[in-house]
Amino acid sequence: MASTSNSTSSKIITLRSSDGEVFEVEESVALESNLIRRMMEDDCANNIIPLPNVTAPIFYLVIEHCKKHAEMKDNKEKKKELRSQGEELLKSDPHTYSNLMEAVNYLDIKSLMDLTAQWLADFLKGKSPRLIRELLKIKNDFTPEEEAEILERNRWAFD
Amino acid sequence: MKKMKRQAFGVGAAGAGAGGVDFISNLPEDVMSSILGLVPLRDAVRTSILSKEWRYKWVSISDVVLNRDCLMKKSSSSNTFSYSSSDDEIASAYVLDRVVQQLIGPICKFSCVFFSALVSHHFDLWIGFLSKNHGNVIKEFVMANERKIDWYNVPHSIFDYRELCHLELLNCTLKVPRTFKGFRNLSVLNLAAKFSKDDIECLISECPLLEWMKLIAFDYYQSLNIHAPNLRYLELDGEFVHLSIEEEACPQQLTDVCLTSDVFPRFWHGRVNVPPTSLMPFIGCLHGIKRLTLTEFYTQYLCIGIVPKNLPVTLGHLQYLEVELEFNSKEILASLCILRSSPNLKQLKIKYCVDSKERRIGILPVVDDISGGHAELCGVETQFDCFLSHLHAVEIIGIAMLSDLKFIRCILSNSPVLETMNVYTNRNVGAENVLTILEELLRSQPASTQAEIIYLGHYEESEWDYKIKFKDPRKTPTMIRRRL
Repeated sequence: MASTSNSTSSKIITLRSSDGEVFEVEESVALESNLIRRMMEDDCANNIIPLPNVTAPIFYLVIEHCKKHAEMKDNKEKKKELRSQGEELLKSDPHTYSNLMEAVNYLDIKSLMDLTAQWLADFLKGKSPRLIRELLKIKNDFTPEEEAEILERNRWAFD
Repeated sequence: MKKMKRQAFGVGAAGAGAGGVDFISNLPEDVMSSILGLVPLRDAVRTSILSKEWRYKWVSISDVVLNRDCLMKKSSSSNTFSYSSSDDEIASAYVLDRVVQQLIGPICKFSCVFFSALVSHHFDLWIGFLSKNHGNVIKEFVMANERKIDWYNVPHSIFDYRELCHLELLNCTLKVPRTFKGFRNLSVLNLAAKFSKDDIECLISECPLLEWMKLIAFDYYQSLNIHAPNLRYLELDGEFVHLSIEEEACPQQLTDVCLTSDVFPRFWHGRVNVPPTSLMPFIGCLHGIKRLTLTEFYTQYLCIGIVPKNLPVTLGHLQYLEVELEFNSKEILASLCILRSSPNLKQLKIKYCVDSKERRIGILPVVDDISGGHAELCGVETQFDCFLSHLHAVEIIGIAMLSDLKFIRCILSNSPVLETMNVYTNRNVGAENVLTILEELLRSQPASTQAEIIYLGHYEESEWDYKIKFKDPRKTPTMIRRRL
């Protein structure tokens, strides 16, 4: 399939989210997704491409970030800005974060995978386990004995 | 980051938006191990206490990065150049012994940048562990011994990592075992090491996909013949008796070459049996080159013997040339030789040696006389017979003397489409002398009507340049990141 993705005469790809919403996306954006690329190469994408694992609100987010990512190429300021957005999202809405992460993983979008992975990595950096549990709603299900054992095993990390 | 395999979705589907539900713990395993590989090791280990779900997540990190900061409470973002005491270092090494053995991987990237050879038996231990458990999957291996006090002998087992794409060994001694069967996928090789001619030639020629190579050859001084048919980027730092690249192996692909040496050729006289020969023929076989950088004393190696007027071939693709000159007319001749053979050059950078103090300071008022004196240099004016018809940007760094201007004027008067010439003076030139130099410079008559000469002050070497000079392995620029 010849993909002459010219900014002026860009082809439009139609996609359908799991909840039935239909999206029209420029080919150049859609091809960021290796999943969609493969589907198009296999030519099983003549009409509407179904995305059974992605809901409309999450797909909106994905498209938005794909565009942002394309814009920020060679722009350090924007890159920084985009990287710092993860902290807020993870604090306020870890559920959306995990949905976004899973959608990006499913759609196999390399650039966004790097970005969203970096978000969580940055988030985990330097925070106490107690704070991480609280923010990400992780329940500590260890007994005090188990906890003591873990601390002992890698004591250096918890001093 | 490694490519993720697709995983079933639907985790956390229950109770969308519910406030008290933990959605992060159930991210796909391979995603999580990549994420934890981006976190400093200390923070990754600390996630084991979060909950049972998190207990063993960190042990499957695929990118293992060991450095001084990975054990620290706060990863220091500052670039301070402090060395930890050897006691700290040994203590950290023992901690890492235990950490490394907990890793279950699969480990794709292993990077260990710190420690001196004081703890080299720990290196051996980790590499041994890696070889035993992950040798078949590892794609990127980086090992840098920070101090060049003792040289770390790289264990032979790394030559069994058949899938390596990216190898960096800094401040090590390298011996290639006879059983070495090649790295069939290696594309990036960065070595700052002691090695023999046979070993290095064997290593290079057994990596058929090699595209990017940086070589700092310590105490080498032998000839080197490079056989790397897919090479695109080559950076060589060291002294070579003779340097060649196999004809069939240097087609149009090799576009970017950077050559440097911090030892001037005179140094070798009386010290070695075979004095260095001119490396100009090497430049002459870089048919496809687009960017050529010759720094420190390298230009002097092009001036040994008689400097030819032209290269044997035209470097028709050369767009960017950078040369570093000491006050020496022969280096100008060598630069001219390249310029004459580069009809399509667009950018030129000339750096006058900044730190060669005895020769560059205080000469200006007495000896330096633009109207006469340096007979050799005067020759340059008549020798400058090349027309730089595509040159549009020039940068001149570290002017210190009026006589530097002779060459610069020649460039100006032979570059009809020049747009900008940025000029920096040597930081040791006093304000008065700067004025004199600039006045003289402005009196030149550029061939291009649109040429702008812009004076940008003294040239301050950045901290980065300074560190590079000392070959700090940590400052080796991170190379093109390849998708592994």
